[in-house]
Amino acid sequence: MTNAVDRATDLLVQRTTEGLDPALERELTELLTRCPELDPESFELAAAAIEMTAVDTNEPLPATLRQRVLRQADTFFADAAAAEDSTPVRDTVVPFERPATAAPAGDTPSSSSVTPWLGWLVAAAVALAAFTLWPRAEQISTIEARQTAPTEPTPAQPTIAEQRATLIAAAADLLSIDWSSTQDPAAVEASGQVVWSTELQRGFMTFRGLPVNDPTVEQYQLWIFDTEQDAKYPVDGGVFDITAAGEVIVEIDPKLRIQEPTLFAVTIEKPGGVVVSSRERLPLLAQVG
Amino acid sequence: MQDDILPRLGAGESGAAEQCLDRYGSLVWSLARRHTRTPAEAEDAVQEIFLSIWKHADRFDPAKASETTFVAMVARRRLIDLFRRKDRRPETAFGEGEQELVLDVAAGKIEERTDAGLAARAIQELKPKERQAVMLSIYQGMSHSEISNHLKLPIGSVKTYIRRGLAQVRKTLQQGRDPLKKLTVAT
Repeated sequence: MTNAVDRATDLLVQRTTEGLDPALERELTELLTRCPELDPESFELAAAAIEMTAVDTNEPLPATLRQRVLRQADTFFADAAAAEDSTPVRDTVVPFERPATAAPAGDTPSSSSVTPWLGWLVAAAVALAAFTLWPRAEQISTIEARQTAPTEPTPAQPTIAEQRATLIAAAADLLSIDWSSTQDPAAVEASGQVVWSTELQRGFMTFRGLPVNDPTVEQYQLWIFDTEQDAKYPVDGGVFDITAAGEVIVEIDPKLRIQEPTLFAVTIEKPGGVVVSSRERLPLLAQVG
Repeated sequence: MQDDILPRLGAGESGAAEQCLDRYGSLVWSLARRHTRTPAEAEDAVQEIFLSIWKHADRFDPAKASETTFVAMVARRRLIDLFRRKDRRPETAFGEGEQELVLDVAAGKIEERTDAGLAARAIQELKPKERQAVMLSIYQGMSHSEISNHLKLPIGSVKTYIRRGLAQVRKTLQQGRDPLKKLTVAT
């Protein structure tokens, strides 16, 4: 066995049993190009077969999780098809599927009293540190816009403002945080708030003065930092457009369950959003606490 | 015999996703629950796993493994990666393994004509130290150094035993695939 084959085999076994850090993963990738006789998946397939002997598959996938995965699949395949057509991916409006609550709209809580620049500096430091460490991997789930623009409501569908008001009235654990502007040109006149309920896993962003974007050129994207999620892996909170001047409300669409959010960050990205931010445009931040 | 779903997913047929969930949702959920501490963690992991399945469905090769085994492999890889990123091992509520495995095969809980059945048979045929090291690693989720401490063996020996054990299971699977071709795991 050559040294390269031996080393590659060791790394394949390590990947199978303990995982590899990015440096070792790169080393393995390089070694495999020199060892075409090795099957990179054979050890993992063997381990999977072994582990299946211990799996009790009597418990079904929870129904709500199943629905989330199916929505994720719809978006993934729609985006893949759109990418294949070389047309801008977007304008997908996925209907809001949670059961509507009939609670009356409450008043919006007063703005938090964060000192904007101090808050921004702290938040920016956290966000930029995290952005710097963002992996170039597939950790962040596919982009799915669930933007609900302030359009005409149907009789059965409350407006997004009503949905937001309902959430504010209903959520016992509501977070309400003002956006802090950065020095990005898009943030010059921008303001607004984030409201979020971890218990209900639902939230909305309100924007005033954020420039209307051309979705064929660029789109806004929300990222959510969570204490339960490694800071290097903020959760994709959805891609959205600012479609009108004045106040715009956008529903937050986290791709993973949020346990304890610490920071909400809006970036400007290419149409369809990104899985890894270029971190060049970061107009708004909202730090919790 | 059921038709494979992954080739349809690989071809971009989004409708196959629902069938994929019907067939493998329980398997992925069970694997996620084995590797996580809370249902919320398991739910997050399941979403990441299925996203990987959508992305890598076109890499499934029925000549190498059953579709079930491929799905389990993708799931394991994501789960291991998640824990490596969080710098911690799973809470192992895993069974002791060896005895249960023998009983499960004997009781027909593991169908012999599946990759899992072949793996169970292969494990029984491993040398004792290889079998112990593999079971502690795959069943118990122990790291190589934990196994080294547990078995009071040098870590190099542990790695060698695991490597040999997995290689033997792999060989059994490969030999078993020719006559069996497409296999499904008993669920």
